[in-house]
Amino acid sequence: MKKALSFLIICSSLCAVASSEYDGSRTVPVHRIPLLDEEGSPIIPTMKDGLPFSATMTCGVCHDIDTIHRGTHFGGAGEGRPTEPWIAVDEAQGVQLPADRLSLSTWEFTKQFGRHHAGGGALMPSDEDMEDVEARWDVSGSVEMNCLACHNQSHKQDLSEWARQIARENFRWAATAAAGIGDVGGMASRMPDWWDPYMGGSPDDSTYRVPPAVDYDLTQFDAKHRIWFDIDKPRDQNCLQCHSTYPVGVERVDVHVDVHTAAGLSCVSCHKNGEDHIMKRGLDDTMSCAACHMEEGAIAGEAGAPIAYHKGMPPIHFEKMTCTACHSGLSPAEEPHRIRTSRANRLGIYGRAQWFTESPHIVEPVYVRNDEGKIEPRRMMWPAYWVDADREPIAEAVVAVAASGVLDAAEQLGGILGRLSAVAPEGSVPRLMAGGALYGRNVDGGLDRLREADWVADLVWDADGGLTPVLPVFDVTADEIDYDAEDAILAVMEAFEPRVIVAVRDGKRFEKDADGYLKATASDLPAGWYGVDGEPLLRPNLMRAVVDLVGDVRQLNEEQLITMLNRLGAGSGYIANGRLFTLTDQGELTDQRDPLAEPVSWALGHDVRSIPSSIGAKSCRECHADDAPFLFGSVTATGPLMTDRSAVKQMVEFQELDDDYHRLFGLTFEIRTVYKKALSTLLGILILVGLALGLPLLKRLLERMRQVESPMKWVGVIFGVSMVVLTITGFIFGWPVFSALHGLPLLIHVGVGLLYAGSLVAWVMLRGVGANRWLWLLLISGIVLIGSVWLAMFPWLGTTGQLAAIVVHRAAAIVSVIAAIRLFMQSRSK
Amino acid sequence: MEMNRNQFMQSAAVAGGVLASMRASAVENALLAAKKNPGQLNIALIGAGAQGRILTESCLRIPDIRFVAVCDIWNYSQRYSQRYLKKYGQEVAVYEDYKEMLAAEGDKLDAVLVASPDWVHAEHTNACLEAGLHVYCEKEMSNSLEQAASMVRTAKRTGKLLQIGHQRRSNPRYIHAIEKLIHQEKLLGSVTTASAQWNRAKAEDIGWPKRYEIDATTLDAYGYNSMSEFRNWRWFKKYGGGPIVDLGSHQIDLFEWVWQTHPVSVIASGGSDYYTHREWYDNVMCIYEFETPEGVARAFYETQTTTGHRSFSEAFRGTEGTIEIAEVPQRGNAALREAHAKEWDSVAARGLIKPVVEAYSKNSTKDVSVDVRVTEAAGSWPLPIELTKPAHQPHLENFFNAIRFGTPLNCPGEKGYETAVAVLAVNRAVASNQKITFSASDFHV
Repeated sequence: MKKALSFLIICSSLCAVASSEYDGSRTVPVHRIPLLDEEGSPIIPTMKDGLPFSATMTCGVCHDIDTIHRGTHFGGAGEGRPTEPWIAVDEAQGVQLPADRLSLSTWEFTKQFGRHHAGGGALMPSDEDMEDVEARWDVSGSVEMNCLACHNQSHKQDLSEWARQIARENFRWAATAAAGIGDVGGMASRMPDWWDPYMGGSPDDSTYRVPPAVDYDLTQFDAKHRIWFDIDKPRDQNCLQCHSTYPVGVERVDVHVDVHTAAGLSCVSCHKNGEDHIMKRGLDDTMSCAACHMEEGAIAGEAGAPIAYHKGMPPIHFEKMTCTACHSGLSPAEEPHRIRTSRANRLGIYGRAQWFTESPHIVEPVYVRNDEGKIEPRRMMWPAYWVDADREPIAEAVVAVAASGVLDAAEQLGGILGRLSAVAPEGSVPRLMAGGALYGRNVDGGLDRLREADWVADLVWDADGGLTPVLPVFDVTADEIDYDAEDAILAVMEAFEPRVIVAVRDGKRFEKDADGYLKATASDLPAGWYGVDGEPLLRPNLMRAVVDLVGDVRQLNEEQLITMLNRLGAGSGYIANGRLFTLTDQGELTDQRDPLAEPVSWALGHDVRSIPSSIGAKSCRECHADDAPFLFGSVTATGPLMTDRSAVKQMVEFQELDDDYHRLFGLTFEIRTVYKKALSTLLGILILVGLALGLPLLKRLLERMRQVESPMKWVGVIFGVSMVVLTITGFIFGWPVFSALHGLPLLIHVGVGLLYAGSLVAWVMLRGVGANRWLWLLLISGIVLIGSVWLAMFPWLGTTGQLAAIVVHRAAAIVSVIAAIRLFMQSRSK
Repeated sequence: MEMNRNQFMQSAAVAGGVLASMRASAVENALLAAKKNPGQLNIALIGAGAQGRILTESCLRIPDIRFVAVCDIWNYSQRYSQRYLKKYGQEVAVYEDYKEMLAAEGDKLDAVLVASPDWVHAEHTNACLEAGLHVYCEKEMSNSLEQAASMVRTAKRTGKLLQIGHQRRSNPRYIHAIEKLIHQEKLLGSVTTASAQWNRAKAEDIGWPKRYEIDATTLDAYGYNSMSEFRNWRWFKKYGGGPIVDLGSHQIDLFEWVWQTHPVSVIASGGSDYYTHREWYDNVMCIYEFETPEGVARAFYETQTTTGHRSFSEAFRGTEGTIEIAEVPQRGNAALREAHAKEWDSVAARGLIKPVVEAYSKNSTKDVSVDVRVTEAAGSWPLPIELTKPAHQPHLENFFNAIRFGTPLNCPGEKGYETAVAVLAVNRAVASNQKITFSASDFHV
């Protein structure tokens, strides 16, 4: 199939290359286009049992599909820096494991992860995959690259529908259903292996074995069978279908958004790509944090990006840490926060059933040294799975057999409530009481923890909150038989048939006699329901498991673990929570470190926090303190197992830093304020001493220069001429005659200004000592005159400042002219 | 994913048998077949449409059956079957013309499965028999009695086996119900009537991928007027016998099996009332008369193609009870005892039927003058036999066992011919609006 499809794609691509050249318009072409099916035939929406549309064939008419298919989300997936792995999860068995450790076939991978995949790439079967007897590609079709998943702007684009179709093995129909251009009914998963889409449905089964078929929404097609797709660059909604993260326990309204999003940027503002669909991942010189935010960045200031000067930040931070370390992810805390991600925890799929899973248990942030030697924030997960004596994973089916009756405690007890439901008194529902709480059966057949409640009986009838025991008081020898109680007990017994159960209460064991009535014998068992062999109906281990786990995010407790390891046989083990759990020869649970239990982590990039909420923005002590979470926070291994034996590490271990040194270094920040003050004081004293010693020397030098006569004449001439030129150009060609100095007079003014400044400096150096008040006025006004120009030459003053500088310049110029005239007149009088 | 037999057996054993799926069994069989052990039978398939694929699927689950060639005039079906078989490790040659296939592959073959349209069954079957090959031919033998008879004659002359695809004849559930319970145990007493039906909801014509449409020249060369007729051949008189033949022959065949005799007459009514563009009757109702040692018995049969009500099942109704049965157990799998019949507990105790748990109900008090506990009317007694294979597999196994070990065929050509006589007469009865009577000689070639 892949070969044939590739051929079609290549053919269409060759046709498409010429027509897909960008013409320069910044508009998005209106996509009113005919749809093609996977054979390349036009879709006639009114035709019954037509094939679904094929995105690769339809889009391939104009776009180079072959090139696109090498893009990051498809054939190019997995290249570059590792990203979040696909994680296989089985909550019923307490398993969470990166898929790459499972050697999944393409079929298995597609079935498990196609729900959050844009199609193509790893989901496309090779010729070898087509011969996989477990696979059913001929029935399901393949999950082609689905352009609409990212580019469809329609609010009908529906990840939930996509996931449903994948679950039903309706692979070739998934894109059509998800785009909302037609209803797709039926399930390929229920069709026999030899079925193909051209065979239609079974004429004898219109309820179960219904083949997948699309019923196009005719209102979306025009008379020429064209459809209008609202196509554009991907919106955040498209990206977040598969790339959301959620800090568990946070209300939706309190979930922070990335600062870039808040600033109006979209995901693709940075994570952009060309026709090759190789995404910018923020890791190269042309698109990265530094490219936008550093002064020397290739696109510094792009889209208004503020330049980060990191004032006061020692440069070693940039050598040893990534930008994301301080700016991305959740803020560090004493323990990392548990999060869910779209792909791992199946977020964003909605329907009658709850799709998201608590597993895998992922935490953020954990600061880890990466391959480049830099510390970066990561998300982290600890593998959990069952292993045999050789530490190889045990087959899922084998674990399932062992887990039956052990890991399904809630389902087993829920099943008992289900049976009781059939004989519940009118207006009542059966409940389970254990551990001070009341439990009810949920729609999945398991249990929900409803509320705390004072114990009445293990099994109770709940009538609008009023609780009465399922096993009522009954005395078979009473003068007046309580037939209602007898009937109630008999009804419960019948609810469990063909299994025979008996009731024990008040030292009497009740069972049904041959006539269908109750007979009683003495018993010393506690009150409750039992099998004929005396085994409690509510097995204590199941009750303990329910108390431990129902309402908790974990899936098994240590008691269940011990039972499982016994069932799985000698040498078996359970990798979880950063440990390898096994049984000793005495049958006791023991745990140890094991390389297989080491965590899996991957770098995170988002959400980027605002500058004030970046680490270190408030104080260096956010990191440099002996209790700073960044360095010394605990990272407790999480996982499906409820245990106190979880591995615990400190952040510094992941950063490969010296714990003692960094605690000591952190302590130095305790006295750093005092240190700064002391150093500042000493520096100030040094400067004062230096000035005291140095200024007299300078004065003596100037006094010697006063003795020099010959240059003074020329200095005076140059100064005078420059003053005249500046006065003329400044006050005649500029204010007040004209609004602003410009043109050639401006050039002359600026050029002569340098002569003026030089001759002024020479004058005050030669004749400054013992100057009269006019020379002092000339000196001071000159400083203001030159200073106002100097200030305006640097990007320090805004428009108002610039205007103010001009006013100051003119005022100083007037004063300087007056002072110069007075000095000139004084010199003439001499 | 490759898995050798040892790996499969290990994994199946480790999993406690939970993984022993039928598909895995097919893999194992295919791998065994690939080793060309002495017991292997090489077969070919003529007609790789839907029915051909069903037979193929069943054959893949039978040890030592090796497909060598597939023949179909439609290259779409050729390619599909070739790819499907390759998945199970069976590389086959594909042919458009069965004559070329027999010429090229005949020497390698032991048997041929014929699943082509009815009108060419005789041509294909006779050619294969003449080539010295055993034949499993789908029912109906032919839409022409003369052609059906020619198949019987050729099989007799060549001495080769001819099994007709009335697969219920090999279904252990039907064998148990008819031979054990009805014939041997006389559980139903005297079976006086039977009824059966096969009703289907209305359906569009079958389509085809336009890019794989057979060109007009080829269609003409093989006798088809159009692609539409080729795909929907069952509705056209040239190629088939219509729903009464396609569907009815399976169940009408059972009447003869139950009463162990041929019908003496049939009356029928029907017409092309809904699908006016199709030739064959889209609804037929008929009544057969049988003369049995216990008296006249009648069987009602209907097939509808505009409603799926009651779907398909058969009921054999006797003086002591009724057996309701269908090829899919969910639609019929029980014996129902008449109220006056003697208890069936002893039959159940012998495992011939499953015991019924009597529904228990009781009034709110026992303090009454009479016992008010009531027992519901006798429930149905489920049949104990389960078929854990595809429905066609036992019949194919019977065919292959006949080749290997001389096991008697459950539906040889002669038996298939008898059914064809009875079934094809219905169309004549509808057309003539007259009662058709049979003589004993009608059923013999």
